[in-house]
Amino acid sequence: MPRPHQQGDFIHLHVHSNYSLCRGANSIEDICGRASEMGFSHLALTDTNGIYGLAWFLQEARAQNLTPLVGAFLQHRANHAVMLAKNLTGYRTLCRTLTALHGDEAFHLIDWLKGNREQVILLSDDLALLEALHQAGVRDDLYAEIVPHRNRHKTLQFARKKNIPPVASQAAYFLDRKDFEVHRLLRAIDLNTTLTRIPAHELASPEAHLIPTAEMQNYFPDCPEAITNSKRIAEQCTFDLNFGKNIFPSFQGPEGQDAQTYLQQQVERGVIWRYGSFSPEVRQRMDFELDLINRKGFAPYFLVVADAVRQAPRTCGRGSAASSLVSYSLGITHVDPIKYDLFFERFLNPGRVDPPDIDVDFPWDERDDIIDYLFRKYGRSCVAMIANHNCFKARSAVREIAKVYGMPDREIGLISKKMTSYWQPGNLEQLIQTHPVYKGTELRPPWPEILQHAEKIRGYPRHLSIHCGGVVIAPEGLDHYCAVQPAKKILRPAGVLTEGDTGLPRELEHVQVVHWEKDQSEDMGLVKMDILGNRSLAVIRDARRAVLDNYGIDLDFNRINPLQDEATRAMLARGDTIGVFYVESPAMRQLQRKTGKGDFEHLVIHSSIIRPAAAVFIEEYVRRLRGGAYKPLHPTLENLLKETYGIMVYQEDVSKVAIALAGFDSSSADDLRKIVTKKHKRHQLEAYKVQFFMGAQQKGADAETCEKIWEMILSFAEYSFCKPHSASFALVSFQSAYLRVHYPAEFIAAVISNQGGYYSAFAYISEARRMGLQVLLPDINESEQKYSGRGKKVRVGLMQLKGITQNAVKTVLAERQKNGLFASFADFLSRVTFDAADIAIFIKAGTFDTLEPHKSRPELLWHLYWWQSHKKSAPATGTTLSLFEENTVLPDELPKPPAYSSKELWQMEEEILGFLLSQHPLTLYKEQIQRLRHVKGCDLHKHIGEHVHTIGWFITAKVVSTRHKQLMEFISFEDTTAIYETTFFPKVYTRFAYMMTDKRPFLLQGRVDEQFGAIYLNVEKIQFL
Amino acid sequence: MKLLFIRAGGTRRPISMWCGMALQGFIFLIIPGLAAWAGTGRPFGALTLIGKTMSRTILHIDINDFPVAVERVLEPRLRQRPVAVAIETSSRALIAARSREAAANGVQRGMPLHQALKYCPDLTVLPPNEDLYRRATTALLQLLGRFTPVIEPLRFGHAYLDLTGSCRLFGSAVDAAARAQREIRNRLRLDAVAGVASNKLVSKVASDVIIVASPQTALCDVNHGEEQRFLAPLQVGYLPGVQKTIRSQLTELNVHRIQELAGIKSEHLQMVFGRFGLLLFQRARGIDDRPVQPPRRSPEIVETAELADDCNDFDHLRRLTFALLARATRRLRRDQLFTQRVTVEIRYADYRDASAHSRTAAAQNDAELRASTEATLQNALARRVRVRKITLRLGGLGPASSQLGLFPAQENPKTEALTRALDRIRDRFGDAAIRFGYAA
Repeated sequence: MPRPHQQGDFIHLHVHSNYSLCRGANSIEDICGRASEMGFSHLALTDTNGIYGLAWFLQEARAQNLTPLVGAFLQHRANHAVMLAKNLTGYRTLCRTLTALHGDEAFHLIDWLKGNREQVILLSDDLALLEALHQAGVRDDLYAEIVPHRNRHKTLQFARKKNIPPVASQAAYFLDRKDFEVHRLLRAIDLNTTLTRIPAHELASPEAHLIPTAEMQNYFPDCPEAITNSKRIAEQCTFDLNFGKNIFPSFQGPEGQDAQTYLQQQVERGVIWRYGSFSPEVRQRMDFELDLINRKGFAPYFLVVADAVRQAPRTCGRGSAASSLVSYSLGITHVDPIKYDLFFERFLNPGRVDPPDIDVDFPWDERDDIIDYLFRKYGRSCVAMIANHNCFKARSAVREIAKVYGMPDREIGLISKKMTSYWQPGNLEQLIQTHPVYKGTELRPPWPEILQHAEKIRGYPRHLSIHCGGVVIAPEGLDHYCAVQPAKKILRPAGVLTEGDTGLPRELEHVQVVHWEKDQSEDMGLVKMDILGNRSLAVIRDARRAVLDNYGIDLDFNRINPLQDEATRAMLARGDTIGVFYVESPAMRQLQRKTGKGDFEHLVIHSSIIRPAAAVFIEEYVRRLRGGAYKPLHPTLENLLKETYGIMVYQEDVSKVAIALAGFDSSSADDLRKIVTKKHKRHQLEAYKVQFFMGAQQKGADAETCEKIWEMILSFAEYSFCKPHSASFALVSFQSAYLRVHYPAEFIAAVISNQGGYYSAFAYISEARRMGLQVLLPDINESEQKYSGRGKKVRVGLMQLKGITQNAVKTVLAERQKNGLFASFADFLSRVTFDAADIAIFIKAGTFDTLEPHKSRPELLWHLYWWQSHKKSAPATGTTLSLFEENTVLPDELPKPPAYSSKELWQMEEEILGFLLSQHPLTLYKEQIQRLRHVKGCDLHKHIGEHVHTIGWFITAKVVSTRHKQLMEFISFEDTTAIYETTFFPKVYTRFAYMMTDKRPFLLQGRVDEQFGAIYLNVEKIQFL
Repeated sequence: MKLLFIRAGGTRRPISMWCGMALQGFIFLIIPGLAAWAGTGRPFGALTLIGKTMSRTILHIDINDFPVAVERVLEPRLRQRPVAVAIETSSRALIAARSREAAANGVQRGMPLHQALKYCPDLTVLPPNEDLYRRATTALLQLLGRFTPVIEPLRFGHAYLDLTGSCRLFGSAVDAAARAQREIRNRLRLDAVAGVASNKLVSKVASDVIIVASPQTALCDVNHGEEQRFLAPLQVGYLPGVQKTIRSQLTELNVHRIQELAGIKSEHLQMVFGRFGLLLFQRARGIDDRPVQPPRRSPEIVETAELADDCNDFDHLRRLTFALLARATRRLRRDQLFTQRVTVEIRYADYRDASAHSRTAAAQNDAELRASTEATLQNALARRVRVRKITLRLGGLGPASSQLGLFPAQENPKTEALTRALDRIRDRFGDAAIRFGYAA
C-alpha cells in the first residue's frame, strides 16, 4: 500500500537513473530503495530523452511502496523541460514527443510543446522555453522548476514576474554526493574526453543528489508553495500505467475473413499438405490447439508469423512452438509434433497468461528482407524492433574508464583483452591478480582505481542497439505503447525473397527500435516475433544451389530424407561433423563419438544434453546408453524419462516431473519451469519448492529423493533446450550432415562463405584438406565472391581478401561475366578501373598466379606501379586501352624480383587472408618437427595410456570452471594429420594459459586418455616450437 | 686502393680478420688492390683532388647510450654493470636509456621500468640529468672543435664533423678520427664510435653498423668510391628514412638488402615512392650531398617539462605550461625581446607527438600570453592519452620597436611592476620561490 502523505511533503519530480544513458549514476533499484527509505510516497523517474527503464521502474517502485510517476527529461539542443504524464493519454503524448524528438529532423522542442501538451505537465527552468510557452498563451500545467543548485533565484524571480507557478525540484542525477565521481566519469566516457575537460554545461552540480523533504524545505523558506506544488503535481500524475492486454498485430484474411476463420482454413489446408489426410489423432490435436489459440486471441499472431515465414523458402521454426500442430501445418515449424511426441503445454496451456513466443530462424542474409517486408506491410508507425540495451561489461567498462584516464591503447589492451564477457561481477582487481591468464601482469597505479570504478558502472546501460530479431507490431500505432527511435542500422534487403517485390510501398531505410529491451517489452505486454538469423540455413541453401549448378541435381529434402540416409548416420555416429550445424563443437563431436549413435532420436537428446543445464549428466548418460544399469529417480518417473535413460534432459522435463510426481497442474508446472531460470524470482521459487516437496511426499517419495530431484530441477536455471527446439535443430543438423557426406566440397565452401561457424576459416580449410579436398588459392578468373566447391576442389572466394573494397570485387566479377575471362595481367589492368591498392591486394593474395605463371608476385607489383604512374600521365583524350597497346614493351624493363620466400609468403598471406593458405603453417617448421620425437595426431589412439609429445597448432578453446571453482580449459589442436582434443587441468592451465596463441606452433607433452572411444591428450607441459 | 679501414681500440687488426668477418656475413668487402694499401695513412682525397672532383670527408661521432656513458664517467663503479636511466620516483616510468649490459638482459628503451626490473633485477636506475648531458655535450663539442670548425651536433653525444679541410693539420681522416677518439677517451673518459666516409649518410651508417654488428670495433672507414659496395650487403633499414611503411613496401617488392634496392632504376623507385624514390635511389648508392651545418642561433625560446608521472589532468598540464611560460617570458624580458607566436608541443605516453601554435600580438609578459597559451594547449591536446612531455616555444621574436605602440603604457603599469617584482624575487630565490595560483 502506498503510504499516506504528510503535510508539506516534497516529491521528487525530476530524477535521473542510469537509464539516462551515461548521465545518471545510480540504478533504478537503488533510487527507489533510497526514496522509500527517505519516506517519500511518490517518485518520478525522468530519464533524459527516454523511457528506457520504465518497466523496471514501475515494478521496483511498487515493490518499494512508492507511487511511480511517469515522465522524461526532454533535452533538445539548447532547450529542456521535464514532461510528466497525467494519465494514459498523457503517456501517449510523452511517447509521441520522444519519438519525434529522436526521429524528426525538424523537431524543435518549444514549437512542439506549443501544440502537443495533451494531459501532460511541464516543468522547466529553461527561461527561454518558459517565456515562449507563456507568450503562446500556455497557462495550465506549466511550472517553473526551481532547482536550488541551478539558477534558483533567477528562475524564481522570472516565475513571479510572469506568474508561472513555481515547483521545487532537485534535478537529481545521483543518490549521494560521492556518486558525483561516477557521474563525471560517465560524462567523460560519453563525451569522449577527460575528467578535467568536460564542458561545464554537460555536468550536473555535485549537489544534484537525492535529498529528503526536510532538507528541501530548508531551501524554500521564501516560497513554500514550490514544495506544495510538487505534491500537487504528483497527485495529478498518479495513474496506473497498464495496457491490460497483450499487444498483437491484427490480421485479416484476403477475403475479409476474421482471423479465427482464416486460421482454421489455413490449418486445415496445412494438415492435408503435411499428413495427406485427417487421422482422428490429428483432428483431435488440431481442434484442441485451435480452440486454445482462439480462446486466448492468438490467431492473428499465428497468421502474421505464418505470413512472414511464407516469404522465405527455407526457415526453421524453433523453440517450443515446434510442439504445435498448428505451427507445423502452417509451415512455421518442420518437426511432426505427433510422431516425435512433443509436449504442447510447454508452448501454450490454458493457465498461461503471457503470450506464446514463436521464434523463427531465417538464413542470416535473408533476415533484412523479412524485416523490410514486415515494415512495409504493417507500416512504419506500427512496426519496430526490440532494442538491446548495451551495457558496460567488465571489458568495456575497464576500456572506457582507462581511456578517460588517458592510458595508452597498448596498455589498455594488456589488461582488457584477456577479459571475457562471462566474468562474473566481483572484485576485478583481485580477479586479475589471481587469474592465470594474467600471470606476470602487474597492476600499477592508476589501474586499481580504474578497476574499482569499472566495478561500479558494470551493468549500466550505455546505448541502444537492435535486438537480433525481435519485432513488435502494434495495430493502432506504436506511439500508444512506447516511444520509438531510429537505430543506426540500415536495412539492406538482398532481394533474395522468392516472391520478389511484393508491391508494398517502400519507405524506410533506418530500422527503428522501441525504447525497451526484450524483458521490459514483454512485461509491458508487447508481443514480439523473433526473426532470427541462422547461418546454417544459408549454408544448406548455398550448398544445394551449388549441387544444382554443378551436377544438375535438385536436392529436395521433402523427397530425400536425410534421417534415413545410412552414410549420414554413420558420419554423425563417428562425430566427423566439423561444419555440421550444431554438431560441430568439440564437445558435441566427442559426445557423438562416445555414444556411437547417429540416429535422429539420439541427436535430439544430444543437442539438448550438451546445454549447460544438463551437461553435468553427460557422463552418466553415456554410461547408461552403453548399457550401464540405473535406477529411475522414482517409479512414477520411469516411463516419463525412459527415452532419455532416466535423466532430465529437456526444459519441459521440469514441468512433466512436477506434474507426474508432485501433482502440479499444467500451468503452474510451466510457471515453475519459467521461474527456475529467473534469478530475481527466488522467493516464488521457494513457494514452489514447498509445494513440490509436499506433492511428491504424498506420492510416497522420501525427502532424500525429493531433494535429489529438486537439485536436478534447479540445474535447469542454466541455459537449456526444450525437446521441440532440439528436434527442430536436429532436423537442420541432418540436412547439413547429408550435404557434408555427399557433397563435401560444396558443403565446406558454403560453410566458410557464410562465416560465423564454430571454427575459424583456417580450421575449416585444414578440415577440408583432411577430408581429401584440394584447397585452391583465390584466382582472378576462377574465384567467386564466396568460396566455391566442386568435386574434390574448394576454391577460396574473393571475400577472404582483407582490406579489399566491395566495389573492386564487384567490378571484377561483373567484368568477367560481361566480357569473359582475363587473358593476362595487362588485360586485367586495361579492363578494370579501380584503386591500385585493391589490385595490389589481388596480387599479393596470389590471384594472378595461374594467369601469369612466369611472373612472381613482386614482379606483378612492379607492373602495377608502372601502370599506375603511366595511367596518370596519359593524356585525357587517349583511352587506357590504346595506351597499353602502344606501351606493352615497357614493362619488360621493370625489375624482376624472385618469388617470395615461404616466410614472406606467410607474412603476406597472414596480412591479406588472415592465415597461411598455400600450405599448412606447420610445414614451415618441418625440419624442426622432424628432429623431435613426437606422435602424429592421427596416431594418438595407438598410444592410449602412454606419455607422448605432439605438435599442435591452436584451433579453438573453451574455459570451464571445475566443481572447486578452479579454471581449466579444453583446447583443440591440430597437426597436419588430424585435429585432436586436449585437456588442460587447473594446475597446467594456471601455468600455461597465458602462452596460448594461434600464431605459433606448440610442442605438447601429456598422457593419452580414452573415454568411451573418444581420445584426449591430458596435457602436462607445453612449449613453443 | 683502400676499401675499408677499421681500427679497434686504436690498433689495426690483421686484414685476415676482416676477411673472416666478411665471410661471416659482416658488412665488409675486400677487393683486389687491397694489398697495395700498406697502411701508410697517406693523405688522399680532398686536398689533392681539389679542382677536379671536390670530395669531402665526413666523420660521424656517436657515443652510444650517451646518458649512461656520462653517468659512468662520474661513477666508475657503474662500468660493466647493467644501468638504465628512468624517472625512478614515478610509478609509470619508462626506460629512457640503458647500457649494453642491460640490453643483453632484455631491457629496451621505452619499456616500463617495473618490467625492466623484472628482466634485470640488479639494474641500477639513474634519474635523468639533462644538465649533466648538456655539459658533457658542450665539452665534447669543444674538444671536437679543435679538429674542424664545421661541426653539426645532433642529439646528445652525436655529431657530424666535416674534415675535408683539416687533412693538412691532422693527416688522413682516419688518423684524425682515431685521434679524436683517443682524446675523447683520455680527456672525457667516453668511448666514441666513429664512422668516416665521404658524406653524412655513409658515415652515419658506418657508425650504426659498428654499434649493431660489431661492438668490439671503434672505427669504420669507408673509402671514397666504395660507398655503394659498403652499403650493398646491408639491410635496407640502415638507410635513413626507411621506416615502417617504406620498409614494408620494399618487402612486398622482395627488396631486403641495399644492393637489391641499388639495382632498381631511379624512375622505377619514383613510380612507387614518388619524390622519396629519388632520395632512396641516391641513398642506396651512398650518394648524399647534404652539407655539415653548424647550428644556427635558435630564433626561438624553448622550454620543456618532462612529467614525472604521465598525466591527462588538464588543470595540471595547464599549470605546468604556465610555469614554462613564466620561465620563457623571463628569458624574453631579459633579452628585451617580444614574441608573436606560441607553440605547444605534446609528447603522449605512447610516444605520439602533437603540436599547435597560435599568433599573438607582440608580448613579453606571461599575463598577456596566458589566454592564447591555454587555447593552444587545448588545441594540441586532441587526444585523451596521458602526456609525458610538454614543450613550449616562443617564436617570431623581435625587439619592441614599432610594436611598442600597441601597448598603451597606462594600461598595465601594475602588471608590469608586478612582473618586475616577481622577476627580482625569482632572480634572487629561484623559480620556485613564488608562483601564481590559478582558479579553475
